Amino acid sequence: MLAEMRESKKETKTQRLYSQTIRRKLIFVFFLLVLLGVIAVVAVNVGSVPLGAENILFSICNRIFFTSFPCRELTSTIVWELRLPRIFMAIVVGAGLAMGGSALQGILKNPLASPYTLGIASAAGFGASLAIIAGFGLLGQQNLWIVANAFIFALFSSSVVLGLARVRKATPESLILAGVAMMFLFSAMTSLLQYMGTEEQVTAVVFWLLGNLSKATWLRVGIVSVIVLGVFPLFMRYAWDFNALTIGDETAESLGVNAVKIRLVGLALASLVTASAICFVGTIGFIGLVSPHISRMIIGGDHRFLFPASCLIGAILLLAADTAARTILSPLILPVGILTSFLGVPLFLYLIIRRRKEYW
Amino acid sequence: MKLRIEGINFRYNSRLVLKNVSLEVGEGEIMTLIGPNGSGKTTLLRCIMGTVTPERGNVLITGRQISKIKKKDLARCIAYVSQNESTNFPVTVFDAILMGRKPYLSWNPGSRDFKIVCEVLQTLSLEELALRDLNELSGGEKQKVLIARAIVQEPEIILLDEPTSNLDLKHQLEVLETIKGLARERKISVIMAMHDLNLAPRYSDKIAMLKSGEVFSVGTPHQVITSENIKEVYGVEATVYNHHDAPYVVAGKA
Repeated sequence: MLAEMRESKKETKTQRLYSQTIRRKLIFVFFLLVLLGVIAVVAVNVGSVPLGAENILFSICNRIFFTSFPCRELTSTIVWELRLPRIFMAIVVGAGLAMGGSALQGILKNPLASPYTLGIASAAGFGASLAIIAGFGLLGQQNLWIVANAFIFALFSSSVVLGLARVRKATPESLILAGVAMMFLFSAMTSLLQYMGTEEQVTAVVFWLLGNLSKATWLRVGIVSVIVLGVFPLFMRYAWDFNALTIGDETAESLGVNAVKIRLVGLALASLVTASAICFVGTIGFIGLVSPHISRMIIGGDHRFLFPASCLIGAILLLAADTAARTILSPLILPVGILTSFLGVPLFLYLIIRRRKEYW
Repeated sequence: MKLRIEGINFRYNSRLVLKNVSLEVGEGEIMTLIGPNGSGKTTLLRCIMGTVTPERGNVLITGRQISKIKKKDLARCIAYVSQNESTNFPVTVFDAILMGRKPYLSWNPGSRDFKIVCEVLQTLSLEELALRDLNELSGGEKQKVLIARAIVQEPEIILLDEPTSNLDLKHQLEVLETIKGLARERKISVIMAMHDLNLAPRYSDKIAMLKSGEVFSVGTPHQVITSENIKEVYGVEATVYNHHDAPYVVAGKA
């Protein structure tokens, strides 16, 4: 410790300035964490049924600290069975999509990539449509089939892309082309299903495709959390490799990075996170594309900070959007996917106009 | 002998790109690869840094076959400065150079890593640019940053693919002086691919002239840069003068 301090006294001016930028990035990540907390608190408070901050606080305390503040059963149910799972679902799904997006943009060296670039979204959509229209499973278990199908087809699509990439060389271009092919395949198949489905079924499919958080339960929150929290440290571990990949395969290789391996493993992990997030909530758009951009604009492209920052931004955006979706037309609840898409448009226009560079 | 290339054959889509290439580079020596477009210069560099494996022949570093060296260890030994590196993402000059420490990092860079980066920034007078975005720099500045990255990699061998292309005259000389300094002071062996037949001899100990994947001629600049060789390899009539002890080429007509 002392030796370190003595060492740091000898720091040059450049090094001091650099350390400052690192500190600023850490502060930003911390700030995002606080902001997420604040929005979560606001989100518990709003909803079609006014509950009162005090009652909500009591009901939360009662469950966590086994206190016995006076609190109605209904309040407790609304808070614990509806609002909290929904809030946590927004957080983990938002973080998961942003993580997938950051990874894909880095891996494909393409700022326009999103977690859906490999065709995951349309494959998941097809899986869900298959469950809804072709009626996989019994009525009572249809929900389960939607989730299972969406997850399986999402992973199937990305495995096909990865499989092709293994045969040919896994360059960003070949991966994107294969992804586009999968996307068209599954959208065509979804359209075919929709053409054959009844009006109600098609409505259900469209609703699913828009993406919404209405079916959040603690179990589902738990499953997505385990995957998101499990994959995050892996991405962080390879942060330097991702940094190297963004500057080019050749240079990355010369720095001892196995470019092809990192690319394939990264894609597999990103697909897993994305599939697990969207299979429960549908294909919520733009979060995975926009979050890494915002984060890069503020703290730069270093993946050591990009991953945590963009996950937090994704969580914040989805939670804020869903809270807005629950309130603007209350008691009508909009599918959050519509809102995030709206959100994406001005943000991108802003990015184009404000930034004079060709990237961000 | 620092680097030995023994009878390399490399095939790309069934076309033989390198034919029986053998070369030797000593410690602190600068060897320049010249030859027309498509003569195999870049492919040869790739074989040396191990990103592609030749179908026949070996590359040896101080007697060890590179195919048997682990990637990470190889990265501590050979650095590569690519011809046109570009990224769609923001990266500061400091971070771009720090990346050269990747083969040594566990995860978090330590004070030694920072110290090395700062020293190199100072040596190449890049300090003022340290926190600027790499993509905002001029071609010459950027090339220096890429060389700085190669230096912090603390390699024994540096490979450069056309380090002076796209640079103005002053930056060309600056970059080549820097490279020469590395070879002389740090005893780093340098292998670079170049097109400029007049700059190459001034900064090289040895020149290897490639013609359709074969070493056509190798030796001192005076031995290799001759009007016969230029006629044979480039198909250009040229007169070679002697200017301050270096061959100087004035091209006639193609």
